[in-house]
Amino acid sequence: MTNIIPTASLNSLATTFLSSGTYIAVGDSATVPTLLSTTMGNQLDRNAVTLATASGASATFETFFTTSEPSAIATTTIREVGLFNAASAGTMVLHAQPTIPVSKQTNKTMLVTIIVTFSNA
Amino acid sequence: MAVTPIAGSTHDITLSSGSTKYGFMIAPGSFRSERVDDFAPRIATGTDTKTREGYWDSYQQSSAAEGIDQSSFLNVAKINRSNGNVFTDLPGSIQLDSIWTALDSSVISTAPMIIDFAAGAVSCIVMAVGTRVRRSSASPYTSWSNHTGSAFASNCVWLHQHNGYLFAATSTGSDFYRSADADTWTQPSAGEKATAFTTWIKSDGTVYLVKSLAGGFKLSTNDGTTWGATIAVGSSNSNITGMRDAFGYLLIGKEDGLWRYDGTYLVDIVQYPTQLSSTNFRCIVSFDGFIYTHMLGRILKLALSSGAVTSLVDITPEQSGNTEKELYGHGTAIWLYAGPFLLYAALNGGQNKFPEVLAYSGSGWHQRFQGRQTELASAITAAQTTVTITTANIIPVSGTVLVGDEQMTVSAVDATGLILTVARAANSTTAATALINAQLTLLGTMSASGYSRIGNLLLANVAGTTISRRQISLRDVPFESYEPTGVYETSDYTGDLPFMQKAFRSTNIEARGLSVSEAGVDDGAGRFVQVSYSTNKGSSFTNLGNITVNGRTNLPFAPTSQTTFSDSATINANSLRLRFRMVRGTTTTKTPSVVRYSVDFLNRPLAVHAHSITLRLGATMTTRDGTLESVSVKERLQFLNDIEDSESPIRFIDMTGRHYLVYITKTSVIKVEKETDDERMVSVVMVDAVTGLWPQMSSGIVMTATTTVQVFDAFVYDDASSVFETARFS
Repeated sequence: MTNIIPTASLNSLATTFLSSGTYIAVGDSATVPTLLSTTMGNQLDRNAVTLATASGASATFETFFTTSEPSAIATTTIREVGLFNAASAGTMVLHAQPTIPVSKQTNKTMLVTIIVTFSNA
Repeated sequence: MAVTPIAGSTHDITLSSGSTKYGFMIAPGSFRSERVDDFAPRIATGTDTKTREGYWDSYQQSSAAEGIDQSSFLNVAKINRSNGNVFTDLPGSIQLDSIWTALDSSVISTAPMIIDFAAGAVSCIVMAVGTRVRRSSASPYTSWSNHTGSAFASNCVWLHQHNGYLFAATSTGSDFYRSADADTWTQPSAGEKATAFTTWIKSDGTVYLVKSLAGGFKLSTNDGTTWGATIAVGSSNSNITGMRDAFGYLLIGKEDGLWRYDGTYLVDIVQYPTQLSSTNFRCIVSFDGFIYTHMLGRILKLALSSGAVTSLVDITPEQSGNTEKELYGHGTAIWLYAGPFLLYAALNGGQNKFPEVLAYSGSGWHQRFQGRQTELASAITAAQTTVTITTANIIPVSGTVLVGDEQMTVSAVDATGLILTVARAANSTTAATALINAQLTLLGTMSASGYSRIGNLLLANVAGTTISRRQISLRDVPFESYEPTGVYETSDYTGDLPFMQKAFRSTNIEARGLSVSEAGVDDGAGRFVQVSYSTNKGSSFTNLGNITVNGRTNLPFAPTSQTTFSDSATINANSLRLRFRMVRGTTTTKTPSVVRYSVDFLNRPLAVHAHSITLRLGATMTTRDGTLESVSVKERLQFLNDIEDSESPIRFIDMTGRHYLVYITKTSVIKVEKETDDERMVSVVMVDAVTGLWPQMSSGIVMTATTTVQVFDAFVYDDASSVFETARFS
């Protein structure tokens, strides 16, 4: 038995998904995200998504964190990233970890990119 | 069809054959789905509990008295295997066997037998090592020495006691030797060579010493001083390999068959010209009224009556379960010998690697030795996953090691030295540093074996070392000085239904002789039985825990609730095998004993459902979504007729969207109510075309999220596009 989601439908899912996340949060908790996660392990800052675009079956979200962000993020190590639908609280649409923790120093800015790709199981 | 019917949406149900699909409304309350496979009454007939379904049953075992090599559970008195350190002969008490003790090292026997020699004041155990006879005369027989006289001119290949003398055959290299004390040797008969000896008591009472050379034998009535003429046996192109007296006959083993001699006639008993081998029939044992011998890899049991074979039974122990077991079994016998009540077989090449000693009780074989079981210890730290053990030629037993009481798995063994890669359990609670006790098997070649009546010892010369296992005087049961550990595995229980899934709930084990700790006697480990189970026929085992309390202990197979679809405390599998690892503790004179075990299980046959439903077919019916039915009654009746005869299963989707593959087994149509309208009621009975729940249509979507975080020295903001630019500034 073969069941598939056609490519066009996957592409549509990616486009639709763009509206689900409007804010990107970063944190320094090393706790591995679980299916039951509703909040960041330890959120340091959350910014509005500055770029949300779909290409094929992939939806891309981006935001910047500048040097004027709260002091908590001035010098830290980013170990978790979250996609939310609100500036505070809200629903955590996605909770992920960068491949390797990223060390951020004072006077550095930071670009966070989330790429969500849909495919058949 | 104007619209695509959807069960539970446009219509109550749909039926489809291939790509043709129709929706139907059903009469209220008419849908009935019932499981119809009455498994238990159909198969079981009253007493055979293992084939019942519907409530919990159990199977139990309280004995392994009929031995090993039963891969599938059939005989409740047999098990699958033991590692040779477990005594399985007694019903209701499986316990550790007595310890194999090294007696003598750096000696390789050149004759296959280890025998007693007792004459006058001399009483010793003897074996042949090259051009010397090696002896030990005092318990515990750990002191061995070569005979002090001159060395033989060539290697000794056979030892035999006749009357008050010990005879040593040295084949064609030199004349045979004789000694009255196993120390000083002479060659009493010039020019007489021998490859084998035996003593024959002729039916008239005359006692002969018999020696063989090439294809003939000679008789002597004066302890080998003078010999009669050569009596040729059979074809001259096969040599005599062994001899033995039985029932008044002299039995003569040749490379191609077995003969008997009564003083006048030579008669062949069985012939195997195609299987000619220099090792055939080398050992012939007369025991318990039968003749036991060996041919190639087979062990044969013969009954003679008036000199003729009345039965010849192949009693070779067979193994199954993997390629090595099936191709090589327990290997090839090098020597057979009798203990007080059992027949013993020493073998080489078990599973193409093990030297072994087996005991035959008449109803089955028991493992007395397999390789050399030992436990080597090495320190492991919490951070380590690899342990190096320097002894060569060892393999881990069953792929498991222990750290304290915690079971770990040997995931790899390197080919040269011995590096065990040990996988530590994710939930390990092992202390930072622990001792890893790897149960290992030392391989080697079995060169000789025998039973010593004077020492009550089973003896074997393996890999250049002579070892012994002490037994109770003139009984084939272990002396109370036990092996540190022993392992045995039960057969795979399938309930004679190897492809039916079963739920296994728990095992109850009755054991005795256990001790968590005997103050001042044992260490903290005490004597316990570790229990593991396997649902994949021994490929891997899951540790259930240790039994440390005498009496009954209940061990559930799934002690923690599963947070899946139900709170299950069972495991589901087609078969179950248990492994018991018995640990002695530090008191060498005590052993744990397993009295019996039982396992609770529930047969789970694949369900077959029947579905009955009454369809309402009308020309002006309103469907579920409020629209008028657009397909004519005639067209849908025709479809129902067609699918009733369909060779392929029909897809039936009920109101909840569940899919079934069915065959339609019964259809009845009646015209109802309004004579003016074309309205029918159609009763349809459908039976599952596949057993068990048919896999439902589903398609998963994988959502892969990748996050990247990049740090820059600065950034710019593009007013024109209102987005941040990712250009780098330095």
